[in-house]
Amino acid sequence: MLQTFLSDRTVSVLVEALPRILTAGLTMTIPLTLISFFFAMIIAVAVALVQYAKVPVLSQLARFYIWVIRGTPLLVQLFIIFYGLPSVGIMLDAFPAAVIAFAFNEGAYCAETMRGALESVPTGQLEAGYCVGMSWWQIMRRIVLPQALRTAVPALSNSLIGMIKDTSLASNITVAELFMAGQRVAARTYIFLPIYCEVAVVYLLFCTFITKLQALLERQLNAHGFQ
Amino acid sequence: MAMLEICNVHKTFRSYAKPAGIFHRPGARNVTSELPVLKGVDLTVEKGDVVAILGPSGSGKTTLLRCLNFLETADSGSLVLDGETFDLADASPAQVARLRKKTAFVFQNYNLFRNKTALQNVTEGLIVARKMPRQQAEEIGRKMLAKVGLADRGDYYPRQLSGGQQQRVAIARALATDPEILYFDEPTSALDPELTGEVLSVMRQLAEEGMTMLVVTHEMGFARNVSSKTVFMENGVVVEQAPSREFFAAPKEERTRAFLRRISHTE
Repeated sequence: MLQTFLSDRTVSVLVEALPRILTAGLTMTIPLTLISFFFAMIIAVAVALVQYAKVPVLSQLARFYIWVIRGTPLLVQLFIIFYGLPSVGIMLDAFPAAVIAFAFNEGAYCAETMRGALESVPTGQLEAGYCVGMSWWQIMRRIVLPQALRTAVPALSNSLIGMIKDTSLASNITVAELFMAGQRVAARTYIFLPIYCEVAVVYLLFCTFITKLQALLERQLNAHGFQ
Repeated sequence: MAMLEICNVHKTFRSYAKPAGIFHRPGARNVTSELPVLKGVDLTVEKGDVVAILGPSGSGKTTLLRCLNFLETADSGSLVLDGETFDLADASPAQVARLRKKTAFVFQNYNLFRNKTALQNVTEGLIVARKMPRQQAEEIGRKMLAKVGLADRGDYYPRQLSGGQQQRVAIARALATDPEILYFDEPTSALDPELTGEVLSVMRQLAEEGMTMLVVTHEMGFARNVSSKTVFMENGVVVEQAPSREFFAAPKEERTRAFLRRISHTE
């Protein structure tokens, strides 16, 4: 069985496919993940803050946004943005469409992470800030948000790792990312199991890298007084 | 004229069907329960006074202090500081900011900024709120840390300091903004007896330097020996206030005497 799994032909296909898969991963999957996550974080912090501050109307809108996004499948959201929106005149390239879908999807989940982290910062931190004359926004920016972000690092790393893998869904809207590169080789050579295993290993590699980064980041933050 | 005059402060804690936020509008929600904590408190503080506020738990002393700095909004009452009158129930953000710049607050559980070093804790208000150049702020910060005996702890984070040290950093932070009056909310209640001493000695030193202080405390020794005036609160009202010597030597009210008797048993 091992011989059919790793015949000479299979091995040569795997070796030949590796650079393609890696290239697709590095030029598509990783940028797609990082850019989407960047915007997701902006959305998350904004959405969490309006809820934390209980801004009227905006916090209701935030709840509505989270409700809708978390209640619908990511794949459906991708299809709506890429295949659906053109019928109302909004044409997007595959990559920006994917970024929008991933950013808004992940933003909703991370917003809840951030809200929890914000609420975990003791109110005493806010009161101490008021008492030395700082404004609400100054306290948020310099005292509460940094502490909340530190609390949120493990959960946000989870989201980031989840997102790397979720980007494989973008192959459904023609983004030529890692998974699609593997699919193409498999379709051409009819070698399925080894190729998809190779794809899986490359995802695992990326995620391992992020996990290491998270550990490094946490050590750095701890050394700088964050706990 | 008195430096600080507090008139007729009322405060009732109300539970709402929905929690209140920073855009909370009183009356917009259904009140589910009420607990009156301050029922008309008057207090006068002269410049250089060290006023100790005593009283059993739930007497409203902490709430009073918090109202004076707008950490709580009173239902009614006013405060005159330096000739300017502040409505404790309804002040503009600019007024709140102005009042807070003239006062400083030391909390029971220190509330040091956990993501800042001791020195940064002291300089934060100066640099961010008062737009002071960093260098000047750090100079003041070091001086204040030295004053509370922590000159060598400037680069330590709060979690690396003992409770007593944290509270002294908090006092340094309060002093840095050069307040006209310092509020202390049970500054030693979270400390063990050994650490209490180091905080009290800093407070004693401030008192000797003529700092105006309003101290909610359970430390009878501090009230008796350091404070110039002692106030006894119970059930949201001031029962008795007198110069500390008189207060402890010859309390007038029966409730005060009962309180002091109970305390002396435990001391």
